[in-house]
Amino acid sequence: MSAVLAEWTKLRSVPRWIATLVGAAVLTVGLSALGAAGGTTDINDHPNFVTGPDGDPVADGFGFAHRTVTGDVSVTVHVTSLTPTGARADRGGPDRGTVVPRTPWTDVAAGITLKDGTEPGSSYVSVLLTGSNGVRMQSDFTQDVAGTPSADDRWLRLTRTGDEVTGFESADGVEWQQIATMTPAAVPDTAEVGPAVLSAPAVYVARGMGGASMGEHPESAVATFQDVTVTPASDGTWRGTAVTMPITDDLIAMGAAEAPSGPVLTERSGTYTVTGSGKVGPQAPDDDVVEAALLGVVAGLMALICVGALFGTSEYRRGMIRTTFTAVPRRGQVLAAKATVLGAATFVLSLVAVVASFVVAVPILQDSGMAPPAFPTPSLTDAAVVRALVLTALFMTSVTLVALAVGMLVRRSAVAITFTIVLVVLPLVAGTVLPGTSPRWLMYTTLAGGLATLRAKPPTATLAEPWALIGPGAGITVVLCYAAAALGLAWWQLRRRDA
Amino acid sequence: MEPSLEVRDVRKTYRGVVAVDGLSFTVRPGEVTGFVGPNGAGKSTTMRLLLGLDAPDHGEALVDGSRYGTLDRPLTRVGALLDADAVHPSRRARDHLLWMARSNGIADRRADEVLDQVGLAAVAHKRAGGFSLGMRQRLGIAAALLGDPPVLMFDEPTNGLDPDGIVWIRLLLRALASQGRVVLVSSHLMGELQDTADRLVVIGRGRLVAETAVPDLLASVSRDQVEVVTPQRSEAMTVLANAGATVTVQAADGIVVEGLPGSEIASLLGAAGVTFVELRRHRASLEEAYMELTRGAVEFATADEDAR
Repeated sequence: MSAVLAEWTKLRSVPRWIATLVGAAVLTVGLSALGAAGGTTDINDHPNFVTGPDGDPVADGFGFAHRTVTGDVSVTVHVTSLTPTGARADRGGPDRGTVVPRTPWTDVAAGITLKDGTEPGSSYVSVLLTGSNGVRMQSDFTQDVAGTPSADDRWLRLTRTGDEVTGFESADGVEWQQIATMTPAAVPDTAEVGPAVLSAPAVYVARGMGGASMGEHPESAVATFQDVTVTPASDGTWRGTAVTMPITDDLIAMGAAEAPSGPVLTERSGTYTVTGSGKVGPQAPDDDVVEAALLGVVAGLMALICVGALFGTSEYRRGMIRTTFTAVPRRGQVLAAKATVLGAATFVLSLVAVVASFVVAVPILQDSGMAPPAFPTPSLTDAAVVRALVLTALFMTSVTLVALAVGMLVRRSAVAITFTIVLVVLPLVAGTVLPGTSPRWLMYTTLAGGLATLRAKPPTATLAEPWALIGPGAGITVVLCYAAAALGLAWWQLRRRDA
Repeated sequence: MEPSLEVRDVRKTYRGVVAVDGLSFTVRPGEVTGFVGPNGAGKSTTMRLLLGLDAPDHGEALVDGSRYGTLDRPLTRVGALLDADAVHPSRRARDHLLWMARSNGIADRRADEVLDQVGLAAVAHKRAGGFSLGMRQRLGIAAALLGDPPVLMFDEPTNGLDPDGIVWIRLLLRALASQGRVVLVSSHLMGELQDTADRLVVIGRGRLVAETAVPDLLASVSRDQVEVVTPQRSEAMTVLANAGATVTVQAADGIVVEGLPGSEIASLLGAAGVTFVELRRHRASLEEAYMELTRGAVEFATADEDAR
């Protein structure tokens, strides 16, 4: 404890270090604000999404065979086939880039949907047999519960009791198992229900050489349904509606996509054939407001690396380490105290800096287009925002500790600073230039991966920044491992070497 | 327990170069012990070994019977001035002492007390980078005194001090010793220690040359010699040499006579009609004693090499 107090006195009493630490915070906020003011986006003027029940951007396009029901209802179908047709089959796949794997939200699927009308973006609940993600129950573009991983023909059932909707599946129509019970936000008493067919566009990405581009090929699928029953039995006829996103029309208008042809629904002796095209699920851009608001961190980090390295190497200028070890002969204690003091000071300052950056830069970003509905306003109380801010501060702290340990090891300021900065910057440059997902291993193995902590959104391969390829958990783990390894090595060397 | 510094059969090499070679000595309390030897003799190395900064290849360097690294709050047991430059230039003098004090649970007010004691109270809030070598030397001494330790070690403390400072440090060293502390002072200038040290540990080439009280050392070197100052130097030399004495020229008008008592010299010169201005017993300087001793060390080393 006394060693910690001593190291704090040392850190505090060199004005240049304190100035640089505060400077790092100021630099972080300043550059975050500048960066935020630097770019604009017009995604809200040319949306590729509609607004979901909770105001978030969503995709909502599918083939819907439906009839109007009121009150409690149970619908059962037997999905006997699900066949992708259209673009993918016709064109033989995307022209270039990497195909983004199909997630439960971007798959080919057939099942039952209960929905507030046929307007895209309205509240719904579905039970679906997907092409590659098994049976799913989904609701309101956000909730997704997995059923069995079956890809064979399947019996599905959707039962509404009051506000609650329960999904079931069965292999034979006799033995049923429940998937989940969900309460959609705004499906009214009188709603549309019936077989639905989805076929999300194939998405390909090409990233590298400093940029990233993404392309979509609209696709369609056809599914057959048998034994379609609605209980209580209601009169009325099945109508076929292609629920359609405005963006699809735009692409068709530009000639970039073929308009869905043929009827959505045909029926022959109890077999219903439904054709659908489109995706039902979240459609938020992969760009991240939180990340964009924190980009000044890279600049602040450079200043922190300098302080970290100097806090270590200054001991070896003029043999001050001898005074230090005379005062505290247990060398491990000296290193631990140094790391504790520098780590605590850096973490506090970094946290202040990233919170301030967030507060300052988010409104600027919103002015330049990163605004709702495409980019919902992030709040300091969102779990993902808190995680991003805390982990980013921890990332900055860890890198500073790496610089400290390297400084204690190499004993030379210029070498320690250069080495640590290179460890951050070089993989960034290389990762931005390298194509596809190949920079992922660079992010998993170097300090640059720590920048993944800036993101509040999930990892993606659709952006130019290489750190978006990995998640924040992996990113922080990499830098923590570096800090632990560097400090461990410094500790071992300190004990072994003469002072 | 009585405070002490003890070196037992210590050997230390740096990349194959022997710095300290089988050195043993003990420093006792209540005396100023001079630690002397030419540059590169191993004085600083020995001090680093005593402070646990470097690890001996063989043997032990002990403070109060323990290895330095095992001491609790070591600054309250041993104070050391190794290198006056070992201060961050951006740090204020008082802050430099404060971090040291806090690392050993020493009260902050001690920083002000020792600054006052070494005469730096006026510049306590000035940055050490602007200090002269003498001021840094005083700051280093303040740091050594910080924990009021019973054992003190100073490596070349008079470096950079002005004559006032040198007098001050001599008085300080004597005062510290008279309080019953262990005081070890290294120097490569024997003359510096002439009026300060009670005992001497003399090393050369990493080995112990002598460990002795200063008066004994002087006596061993000062044989019965008499200095004669005379305007008739050559006549005097002839007369005395004929009488069987060994005569050496010392200065323009002085000779040193060995082998005859002073009274006989006076009567011989008087009988020969040689005038002399002054006749006095020759007192050997520590410097001469040191030269004598280290010459021996060099010869010994050479003989040793021949024997291989």
